[in-house]
Amino acid sequence: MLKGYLLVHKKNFVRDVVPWVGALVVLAFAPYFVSASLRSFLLFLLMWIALSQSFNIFTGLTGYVNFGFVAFYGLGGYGMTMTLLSLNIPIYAAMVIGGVISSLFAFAISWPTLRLRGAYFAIAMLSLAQALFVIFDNWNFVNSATGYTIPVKYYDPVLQYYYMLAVAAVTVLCLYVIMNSRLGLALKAIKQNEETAVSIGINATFYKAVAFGISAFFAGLAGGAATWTITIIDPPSAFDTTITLTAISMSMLGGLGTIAGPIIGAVILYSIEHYFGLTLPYLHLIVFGIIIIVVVLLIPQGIMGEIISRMKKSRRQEVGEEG
Amino acid sequence: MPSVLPGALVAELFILGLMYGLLYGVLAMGLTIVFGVMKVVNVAHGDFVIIGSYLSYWAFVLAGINPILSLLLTIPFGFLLGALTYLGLIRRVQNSPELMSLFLTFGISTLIGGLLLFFYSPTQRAVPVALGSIEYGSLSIPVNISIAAAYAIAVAIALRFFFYRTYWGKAVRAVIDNRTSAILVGINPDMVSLKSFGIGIAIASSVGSIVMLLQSISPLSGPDFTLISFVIVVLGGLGNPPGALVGGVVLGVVESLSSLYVNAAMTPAIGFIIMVIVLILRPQGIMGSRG
Amino acid sequence: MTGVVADNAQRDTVLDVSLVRKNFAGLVALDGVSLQLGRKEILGLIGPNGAGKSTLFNIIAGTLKPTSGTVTFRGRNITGLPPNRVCRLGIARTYQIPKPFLDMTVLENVYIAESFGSGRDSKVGTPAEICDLVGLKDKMHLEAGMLNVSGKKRLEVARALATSPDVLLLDEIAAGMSPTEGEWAVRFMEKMSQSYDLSIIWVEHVMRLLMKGVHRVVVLDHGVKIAEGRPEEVVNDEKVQQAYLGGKLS
Repeated sequence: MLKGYLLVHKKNFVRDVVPWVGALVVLAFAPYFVSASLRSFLLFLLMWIALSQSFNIFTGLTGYVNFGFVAFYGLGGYGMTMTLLSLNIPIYAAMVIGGVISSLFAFAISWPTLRLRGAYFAIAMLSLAQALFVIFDNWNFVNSATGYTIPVKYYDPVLQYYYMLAVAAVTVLCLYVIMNSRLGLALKAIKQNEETAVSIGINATFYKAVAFGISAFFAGLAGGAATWTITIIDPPSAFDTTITLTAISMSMLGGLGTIAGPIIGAVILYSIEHYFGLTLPYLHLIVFGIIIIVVVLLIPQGIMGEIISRMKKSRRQEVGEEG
Repeated sequence: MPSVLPGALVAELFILGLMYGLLYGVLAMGLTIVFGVMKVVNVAHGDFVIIGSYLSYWAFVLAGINPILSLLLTIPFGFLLGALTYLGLIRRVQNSPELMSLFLTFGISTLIGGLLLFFYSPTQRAVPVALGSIEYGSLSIPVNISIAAAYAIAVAIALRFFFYRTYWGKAVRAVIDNRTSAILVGINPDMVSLKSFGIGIAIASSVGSIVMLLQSISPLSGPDFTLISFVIVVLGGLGNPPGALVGGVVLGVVESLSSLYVNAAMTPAIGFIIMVIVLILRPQGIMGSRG
Repeated sequence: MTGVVADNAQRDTVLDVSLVRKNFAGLVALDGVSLQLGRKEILGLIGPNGAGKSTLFNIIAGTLKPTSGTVTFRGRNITGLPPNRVCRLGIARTYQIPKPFLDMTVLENVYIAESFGSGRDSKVGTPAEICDLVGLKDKMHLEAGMLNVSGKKRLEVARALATSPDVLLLDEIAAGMSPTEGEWAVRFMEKMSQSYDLSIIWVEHVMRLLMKGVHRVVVLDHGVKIAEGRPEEVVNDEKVQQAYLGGKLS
């Protein structure tokens, strides 16, 4: 009943659900209609949607910048590959194990890192991902610099596409569920003013850790699905900082803290990257750098954030309330 | 030549670590001054090092200028570049949430890395200057590292002079200490920010010249230097320039001595482990600088 | 009448601060301060700037850990508990500089506090009723960032009340309000305290106002309790006058 007070935006089934289901149906039937190269494009687009969205689950909802995001992707990839190769279990089970490993890792490091605020957290996570790279590069248990190759018998591009679709869809759905739950409410308060949030009884450490773990789980799932598709994993590819960079650029451009934003950002940027990647190497780094700078200076809330705040403003004017 | 005694080896590693640590420390001072004044963590700090390195590299390749001499180029160029970056970009996010300045400097870092890659390819570049070593009994200290340490000490002394003997240096210290009071006594905070960002980047890019004496670099080496600076700044306390110098020496010595026990490739992980330990043991002390 | 309440309060202690000491890097902010807060009592906490009032609030609310000493709430030692636990046990606070969730509406601010503050419905009422009580009814759907100072102070009070507290720590809520609004705050707190079984510690710089609203006053100076008693006694206390004249006249 009290929830009724929070209806800043009214729930509308047709508007809220239909487009999503429609997109899902189109993507589900796409492999039957499109070429192999377009299917591969869509697969990686879905991967970036899953990654920018899982980045969004933590950074978008809490305001804590995770510069070490790639660690979750890499751990998920390694977790999937190593369990697949050693236990010979189905791919989906190996992927879930990869996600769980990544998530457990997030919980383990949340104790020292999530006590840090702002810049300290960002720095700690950046160096953590770098440390993981160095450790994996020298650790025989994970085959050090050589890494692993997924055997050819697992090769199945259409199935890979569907797995990635499932990962992306579940990640988006999970973000939606979180944003409409008690967890989402707590995170919203923490993001806006952590001190006040704690003073009204919100256990910020706990909620942040939960969001951190969920973000890591989905990034790990995506890492597993990606590794299966790419078929090789080694430290430079698993802990590649450009993955963090890309997830940040996509979710920032689209709008952190919104559901549609990171998807829009992924569609725009992956299309750009795909095009430039084919023509001029490294140009996408320049483009991404410029996009981040321009977004921060001109539309800090991203495309969706900007749209939402304009809608709010116009609604306020309609109601005729003044400040 | 007699076999190297463990004691002598330890002494040598200690001295090398100390020297590297001084250079790291001075580099981190650049980062920490900027943070102290503006509360902006410059994620692109290391990329400005690489800009300096490339400047020195091309000065050497095209004009045969020794990297030490090209300091005369990288110091003013770095200051100018820093001042322009501040005026064009950083100033605009100074009053935004911290998240925005982190993202902005991350974008700058990406842009610099991308531009360098685009124009100069990912090839490792090095300046072939052989300087040899100085022998003290059984100790052997390479000349290039000694030059690095000497430069670091010179910068530290210059910064001390600046901070305690000049108006703008005192103004910078005042703003670090208490921005509001500094403004109340008539200090122009915009000018202080401009100068400190200029100084921070001048330090970074001049260290880039020195780096060309020590190792090869590529367009993507920037984040490595950023990370080293971060670890040191956390050790010494964000916004605390003398602390950065101490933190640099501590990190340099620990990293150097750890090579006795650990594979040298693991060195960056050691920096991280030290940082995590410090963050766990004295989080209040470290977070204290945040209001 | 206030005297009767004060005497009763002595026997029915809700909050007991005992010999609390706090050092900051060699500086002593609080030096063995003790005070008791009775049931339904409104206790004024005064002192010159830097006397340690905010530090004491932060220690009671769990934001700071005391160097030594204990805080006991309804017989339970709560020293060093994190602020969220302290709040859920029943101690709410306001901030001197209001810290609302700026991008949420007034109602959402209150709703969140109600929903996390105690684990049960607020004894003071629904979020909308609480907004009404503090006089923010017609501003309920405005974003908190759009309120003026007085509105933000009222929101601080509403948010604290929504957590269903037994003890309320008020930090200068009348500063930034007009004299009329200040009078309102005094009456409002008296009413809240009686209706909802609420004990209040109230820090305020507007002394004339505070003296009307409280049953008892504790005076801090340089981290030491220098006086305690009924408002009229304390005002005439020589040490108190010294502290204020020697320091900053407020």
